[in-house]
Formats: sequence, structure tokens, C-alpha cells
Amino acid sequence: MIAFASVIETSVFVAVAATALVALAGTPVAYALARPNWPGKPLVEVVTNLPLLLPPSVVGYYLLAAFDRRGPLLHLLEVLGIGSPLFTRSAAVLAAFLVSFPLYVQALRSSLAAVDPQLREAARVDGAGRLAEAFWITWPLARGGFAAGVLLTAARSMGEFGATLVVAGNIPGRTQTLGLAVYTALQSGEERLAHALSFVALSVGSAIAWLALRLQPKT
Amino acid sequence: MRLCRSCALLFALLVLFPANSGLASSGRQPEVLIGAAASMAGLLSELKVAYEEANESRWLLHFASSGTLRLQIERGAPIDLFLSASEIHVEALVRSGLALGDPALLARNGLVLVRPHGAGWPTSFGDLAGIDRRRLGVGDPAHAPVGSYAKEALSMAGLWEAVEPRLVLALDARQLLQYVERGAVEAAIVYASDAARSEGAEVVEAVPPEFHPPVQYWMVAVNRERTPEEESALRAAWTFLQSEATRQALVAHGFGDPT
Repeated sequence: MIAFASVIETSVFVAVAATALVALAGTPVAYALARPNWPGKPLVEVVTNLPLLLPPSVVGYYLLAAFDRRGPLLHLLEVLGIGSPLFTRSAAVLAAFLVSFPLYVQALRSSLAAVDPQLREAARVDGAGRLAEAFWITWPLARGGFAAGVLLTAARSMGEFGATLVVAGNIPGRTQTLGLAVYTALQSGEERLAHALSFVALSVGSAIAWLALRLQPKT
Repeated sequence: MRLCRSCALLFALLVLFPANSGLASSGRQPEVLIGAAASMAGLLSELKVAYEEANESRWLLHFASSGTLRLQIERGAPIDLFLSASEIHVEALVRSGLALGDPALLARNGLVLVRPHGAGWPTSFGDLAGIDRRRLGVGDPAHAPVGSYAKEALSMAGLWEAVEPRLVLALDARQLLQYVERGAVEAAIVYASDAARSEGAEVVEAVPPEFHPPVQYWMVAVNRERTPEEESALRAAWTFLQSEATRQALVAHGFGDPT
């Protein structure tokens, strides 16, 4: 049971942390991409979608290479007094963040682009500043896309396997998330644990799907 | 501009994340990070409990394939001990100068012929000559060591020609056992340790060891910077893995005694 509980704890931690970071970084990107063409937009689009196109273990491999002990990034971290994130929860969160980022941006961006620009213009004509307009007009209308993005990210983060394994390790109690735990349990003949964890994954996935449906604005 | 500010904030949050301190052993017990295949998860979890009862330091276990482990070690991942059934990967690590000291033998394993529980055929390794329309499960020799061992054994025993058209290839030992347990194959060649923990498969006979190279699990320490506490923790872990207690646990899990 200890093994089971620690897997859940690790998965929830990584999912929550990754989702928060994705929402923080992804919202402005989604906003920017929802607006009509600006210089550099195609590049940002490509970079944002890159993790979707690469196999997760390749994403993990590139992260591993980026934090190579002989590389500049690690040198910078050491100068700042922070050690290597390899094989820590930070790396697990980073891996989950990277693979979920495109999902969140896509979801939010679609619903932002669907907001009738005339409504936004009307608000501006009535004197609303950019922030007020975003908060009172755009946000309520795009809320469904935000919710979908957040839930997709949470689900993706919990099931993350390939990238996490390579850059954060498959360490029970520290970085072994749900996907990794099921695989390891199966490989080591612990079928009952594997089934129990799979059931949790199934339940969480169903709950997320149900929630996403509920949060869609009623049209 | 909002984009840049968010990215900067994101980066700061990530690198200053409190979870990063999970690796720092400041004030806490030193940790030994052991990298091994997932098939050893049960055994190593047990040994971890026993070790931590008798020692101050802690074990962190990390499960991945030998190829992934070696890649991670070469890239500076903080792995202290590398456990592997692959001589190729262990030797490559030694050649690259990343090994501390010589590799030591951790365990042996045997190859066994298994069939679904209660089946009537085969009754011996030699029975495979009369395989007819039945199917034999082996690991894919291109990917799974258990497969190349099986192929070698079948060739040495003169059975290869008879079984080759009836082979069903599996990606790993886990899949092989599933095939047997579900009756998808009438027989399979698996590791003794895998057969030991399977309820749906029963052992017909051990594959004569003279037909294949010995299946050996190696352990090698990784050359890294360590504090004196971490060094003595590593030495304690090494000694423990070579001890009688470990040998008994190995045998209990179906592995062979290395001595």
C-alpha cells in the first residue's frame, strides 16, 4: 500500500505543478497566437507544437543533453547555487510541462479565436482597458477552452512516461508517476499493483473527461 | 512582451522549485542511487528495506533498460550503481572510463522451458523436435537478450530447424509469460526467475546450461564526485549486494546464486 500511495502522491504533485506552470506560460502564448499574423508567429507556432511531434523519450533525451554536466546550462545553474535538476521532481515537472504545453495552447487558443471580435471592440468603445476587456468579456467566453486545456494538461502529466523516465528517472517515491508505475509493476510481476494503478488511471481519466464536458459553456 | 515576462517567471519558478532540493543531501542521510531493470523491482525493493534497517544511508531505486541507464550515466545522471544483465553495456561503461573499480557478478539466471499450467506437451526440451503445428514463444533475438539466449540454445541442441517456422517472437519476458499464461503459445523459453513468479506457467525442464552462454547480472559502480559520506554509503551498498542476505533473496526470487 505504501508503494501505491507514493505513486499517487508523486503523480498528483507533478500534475498540479506542471498544470500551474503550463497555465502561467501558455496563456500569453495562446493569446498571442489567437491574434492575426505578426512577425515571428509561424516560428512560435512551430516551437510550441514541437513536443507533440517528437516521441516523448526523444523529448527526454534532448532535455538530458541540455542538462549535460559539461554544458552551459548546468554551469549557469551551479553559478546560481542550484544543483542539477536531473533525477529530481523538478525534472519530472519540466518533462510533463513540455509535453503538455502544446495541448493547453491549442485548446485555449481555439476558444480565444472563437470569441467574436465585435464583442471585444464594443467593450473597448465603451472605455474598457485591455485588462478589463480580457477579464470581463474574453475570459467568460473562452473559459471552456481554458478548462479543457487545464484538464488535458493534468491528464497528460499524470500519464507521462517516456520523457520523465529519461530525464527524471523512474524512482519510486520521488519521480515514479502513474504511467511509469504501471509499467514497472507489470515488468516485475506485480500484477495486482498494476491493475490497481490502472484502475486509478481509468477513474481519473473518466473524471477529467466528465469535468471537461461539464465546463463547456452552454450555447 | 507579456510572453517574455511569463517565460522569465516560468524559468525562475522551475529552477528554484523546492523539489530541486530532493537531490541535495544537506543534513540528511546520504543516498545511493541504484539503476536496474524493472524486472528486478520486486527483489530490489525487498533488499532496500533490509539494507535501510541495517544502515544509515538510503537507497533510491531507478528502473530502466540497460541501454537507457548507460545513456543516462554517460550524460551525468547521478546514478551510483549500475545493475545490468548486458555484458555489452557494462563493458562499454568500463571502456568509457565511467566505471569505478571492476564490475562484480551480482546474480545468475537460468533458462527454462515452460508450458501453460496443466498442459500435456512438451514433457522435455527434446520434445520440441516434434513441434508440428504448435507454437514456441521466444524473445526477439534482435531486442531481448532472453531471445538470443534461446536461439543459441535451440541451435546448439539441433532443434532450431524444427522450431524456426513455428516461433512467436515477443518483445520481452513479460510478454512471453503472458503468451504462455493465455495459451497463445504451447511452450516458451524464459528466464528461471520469470517462471518462478508466474502462476499460469509451469516449468517443463531447465534448458541444459551447456547449450548457451551463462546468463549473468553484473553490478558496477559509477565514477562520480562524491562526499566522504556518499563514498562510504556506496561501499556499504556494494558490500550488501555481495552479501549472503542478498544471495538468499536472489534465490528466493528465482535467480541463481552468483558463486
